[in-house]
Amino acid sequence: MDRNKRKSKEFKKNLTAYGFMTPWFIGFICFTAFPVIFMIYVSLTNRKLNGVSQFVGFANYKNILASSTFRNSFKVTIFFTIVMMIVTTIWALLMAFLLNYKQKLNGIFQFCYFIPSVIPSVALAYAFRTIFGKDAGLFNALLSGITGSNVQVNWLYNEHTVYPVLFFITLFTYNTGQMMLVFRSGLNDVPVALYEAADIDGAGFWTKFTKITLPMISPVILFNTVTGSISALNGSFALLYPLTGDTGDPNKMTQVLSLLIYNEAFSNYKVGYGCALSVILFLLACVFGAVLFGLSKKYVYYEN
Amino acid sequence: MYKQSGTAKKVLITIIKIIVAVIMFSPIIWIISGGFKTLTEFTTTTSIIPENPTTDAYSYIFKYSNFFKYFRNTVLLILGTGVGTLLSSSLVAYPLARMDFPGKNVFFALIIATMMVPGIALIVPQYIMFGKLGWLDTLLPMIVPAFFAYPYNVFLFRQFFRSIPKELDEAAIVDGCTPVGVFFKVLAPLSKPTYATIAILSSVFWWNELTQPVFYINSDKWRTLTIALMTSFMYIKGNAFVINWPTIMAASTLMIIPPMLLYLFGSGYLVEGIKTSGLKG
Repeated sequence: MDRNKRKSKEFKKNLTAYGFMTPWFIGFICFTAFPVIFMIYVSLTNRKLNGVSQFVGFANYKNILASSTFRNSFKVTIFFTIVMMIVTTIWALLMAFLLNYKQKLNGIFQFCYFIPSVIPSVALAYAFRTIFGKDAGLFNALLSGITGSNVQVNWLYNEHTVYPVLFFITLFTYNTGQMMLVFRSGLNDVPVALYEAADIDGAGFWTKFTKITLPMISPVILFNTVTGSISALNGSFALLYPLTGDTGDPNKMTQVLSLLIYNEAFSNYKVGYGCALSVILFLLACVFGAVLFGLSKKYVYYEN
Repeated sequence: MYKQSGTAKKVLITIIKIIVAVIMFSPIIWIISGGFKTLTEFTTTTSIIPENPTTDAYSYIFKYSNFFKYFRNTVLLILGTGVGTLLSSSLVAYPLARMDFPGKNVFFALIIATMMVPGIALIVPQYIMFGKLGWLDTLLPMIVPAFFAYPYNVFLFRQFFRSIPKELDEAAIVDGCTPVGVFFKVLAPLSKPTYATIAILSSVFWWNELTQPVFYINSDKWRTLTIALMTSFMYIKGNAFVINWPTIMAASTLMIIPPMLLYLFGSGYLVEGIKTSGLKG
């Protein structure tokens, strides 16, 4: 084949590839790249929800850094993301362990464990608002029955109880269900021979768990926890908005950044300020993303 | 580890299993039972089995609310985003899985990078953008982007395409098939289960999605079921100050049924799909 012909064939092939890629090129430019640039621009203005806008330089950022509401929200976001990641991972691992213990009726158990993660988070949020409510709440009734006294705690509006209850509720999110399924297959992939060898050496359950199971599934755990943190950043809105509102009750203790963005842009009409907050959330996600990319390169894309 | 099985251990594990099942399933029982209570019973007692079961909440939903409109809107949203993402994401994934061309690695890295960006971080600028286009208060801000390839689904399609033996493409090319033909005649037909899996994952996502409708939809016209739960079903006509819990619970029950049926009858696609997307994504 002569050179020109090969070149033109190569060119045609590349053209086909770019042709197939076109939807993504357009999507990336219109729905990612442009919004990012536009967001940075709007964050430098005092744009209101009605579109009135004036260039103000870095004033929004200065206000953000001086704002105690922001500092609180930033802390809450990091705290919520990390604790949710830990709690849901442990719970998912526990459920995977239980389900991998082969028994009759395992199908029913998996159904019960898994279904909460594929139903609307807003329905769950309302269920829990009433379960942990003060009057006629299921949890108060349960505690009253056990202790014999009349328990009247408003769990989600009490500063001392809101976090434990909130993290309990995160056990019912999509992410937990997904991790449970992933851990189930991860646990199945651990060679049985390793356990048999440990049995011969007389190792107990805990030794086997820490010396064999955990090291064998550590890449899966690591990968899942970091993916989980990204979806916690993203998904917390759909859970917390119907649960504790955009003001993050009680006393802003649950006001993660996404709720603060909604609150500033749509309740206070400060879109420019909301964009500056979005830039910060974006950068935070970039940090998490960089960590994930580093880890996944090491563990997941390895096979390719 | 599971080999030696003392009866005591077996009983203990079964008990823990049942406790976890009760914990995980209790909100669902609570929702279903709440839908059959009167408002007074719901706000004063905690019985799981309603003392005076009533279907008033359901009658209200079906007779006096716009339930069927919200249902139609949600279905339209699922169909629009589903068709869009299946078409565009599979097209984009094909060259990434099968061809070599300049810039491929850069594009792929960008796709991975955008997967990490939480949508919520870009929603305010997108809100302004869609406002300028006049798309607010319609389903367009959610459906149109689906036609331009979600990075996450592109990634999933790419992984699935790569698991199909390359020899099949080569054989087709020898038989005179063009690269375009390879996609439509070889890869796409072989990937039917993949299309079904991604369609199901996407449907579950949009059935449950609250965040984007909350930002983009204001009026009753294009309300989805998830926002209706926070608005129309929450405050019923003639009583705008008291939260009407039984209606919320009844509507929630109706919204739980489709995912449950999907699990019972399409659990292969649902469970396997979520597992694979977790392993690979």
